[in-house]
Amino acid sequence: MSVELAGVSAGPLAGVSVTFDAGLHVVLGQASDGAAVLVELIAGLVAPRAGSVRVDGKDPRRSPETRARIGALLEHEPVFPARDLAGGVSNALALRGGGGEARALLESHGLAGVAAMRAADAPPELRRHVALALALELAKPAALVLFEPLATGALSSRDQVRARLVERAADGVPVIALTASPRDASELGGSLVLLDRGRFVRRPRAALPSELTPNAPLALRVRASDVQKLVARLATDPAVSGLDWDASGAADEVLVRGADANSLALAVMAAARELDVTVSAIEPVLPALEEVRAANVALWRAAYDAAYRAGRDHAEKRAAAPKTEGTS
Amino acid sequence: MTALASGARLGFGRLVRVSSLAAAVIALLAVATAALLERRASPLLAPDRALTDVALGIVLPLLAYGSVSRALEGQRLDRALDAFARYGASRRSVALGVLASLTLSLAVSGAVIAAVSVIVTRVPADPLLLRDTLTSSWIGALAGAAYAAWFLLGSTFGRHGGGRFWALAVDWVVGAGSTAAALPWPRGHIRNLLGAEPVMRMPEWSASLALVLLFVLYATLALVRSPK
Repeated sequence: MSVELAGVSAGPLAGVSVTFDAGLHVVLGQASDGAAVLVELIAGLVAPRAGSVRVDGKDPRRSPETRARIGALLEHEPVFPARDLAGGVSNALALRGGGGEARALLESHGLAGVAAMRAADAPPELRRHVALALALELAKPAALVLFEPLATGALSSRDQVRARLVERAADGVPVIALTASPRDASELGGSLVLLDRGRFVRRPRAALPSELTPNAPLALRVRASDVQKLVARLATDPAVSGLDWDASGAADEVLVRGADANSLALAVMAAARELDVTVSAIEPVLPALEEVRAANVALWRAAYDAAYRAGRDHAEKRAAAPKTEGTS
Repeated sequence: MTALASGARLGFGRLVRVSSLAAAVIALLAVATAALLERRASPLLAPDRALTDVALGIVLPLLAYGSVSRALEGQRLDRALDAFARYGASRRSVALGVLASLTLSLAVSGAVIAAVSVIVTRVPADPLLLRDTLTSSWIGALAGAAYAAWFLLGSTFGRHGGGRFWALAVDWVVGAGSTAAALPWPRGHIRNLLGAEPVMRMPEWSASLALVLLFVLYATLALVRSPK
């Protein structure tokens, strides 16, 4: 099973070609980058201006049977066309033809208390949560495509959702999770692809700071028993280029910045051992999406400059070469 | 629940809301008021004027336009059905269900509007009252059904189904004539049935047939234009 987009233009997406095979794929990008419309395209709800979308070899826009096997979570879930939420879920299950009990499904996702709520009164986050439950419980899906699956409200358990997605991916289903949060991308794991202003721009190997923002200074969040002493020691360490610390003394953590994560971690541990400070956590600080986008621009610029220099050097070499006979 | 039943329930569910029912009541009051004014102005041919100019000429098309917009929640036809299509329903089947609900409700509305218009313009002792009421109700029902399909077809055009408005405008402007240009729109045939100048001198009986054929044509085109 796979999801294929060939030369697709829709909304901000411009001539996108990408294939998502079986497994967990995380698309890091904002709704305005085309993430929201990507979900609608794969779910068969909108037609591309150009190009084609195939899910398991069929166009979901024109194949109801394929749509029934796609679990989708939209950016803005519409109001369920039913009297109450249980009725909406029941309709969806009946249309899919797979049977199942609406209340049992809601109960398994901690939503039993809202089953009788009027569908029109359900807030957007709750509608997304119900839609996520429907997507995750789809029997034999052809694909799952989920917009911000870890951000469906307080009722959702992030671990439960993540585990379910991993399980589905292991079953051979293409699972595509779209998020604007590098933290969620890191938490989800899977293969990562960056969506920036309507184009897939990079495939970092993992949602790590060094991959998301190459060549940018790194930061480690350090929790320790005596942060003040640790900061005083680290301030003189050559591996550390900066420290962000709440000097009021209330905080038990400090952000340590530097060029290399390993050197920073070693510096922290050496300082902690020397000062007899207990370090309870060291974790990399993930860059914000804006920083990732800025890194994309920097990489494009670097690639452009390199190509420009190569072209200029080539032209200079040709100009400097002696002219051969017969040429004018 | 089948896709067809889902569509019918969707249509009826949105049409029986308080605001939709209030619009129907206002339409009836407008028709009754206009009919009363026509009767006071001149009892001669008052039923014809009330039906042609107001009840089936203005009120029914506007009510049909509003009802279709409401049933589709101001969306294009295919987008309005996404809530079912995403779970595997065929949009065409759901659209057929929506069309059925709209056709039924607008046929009943058209019949009631026409009946009210006739009853108010004629005196109770009029021997033609019953016959005119039944005939006008039939024309109103046919007109309501034709407008349901026409505006549903219009809803397949435009980003948000804005084709509905153009369908209303075309019917209003071009459909009121008697030339070949009025042939494809409901208004000319409705006017013919009510005794106005016929489209292309077609006999009165053929206007009923034309409305039925137009209904089938509009409905078919609307369904064909919806992706599966």
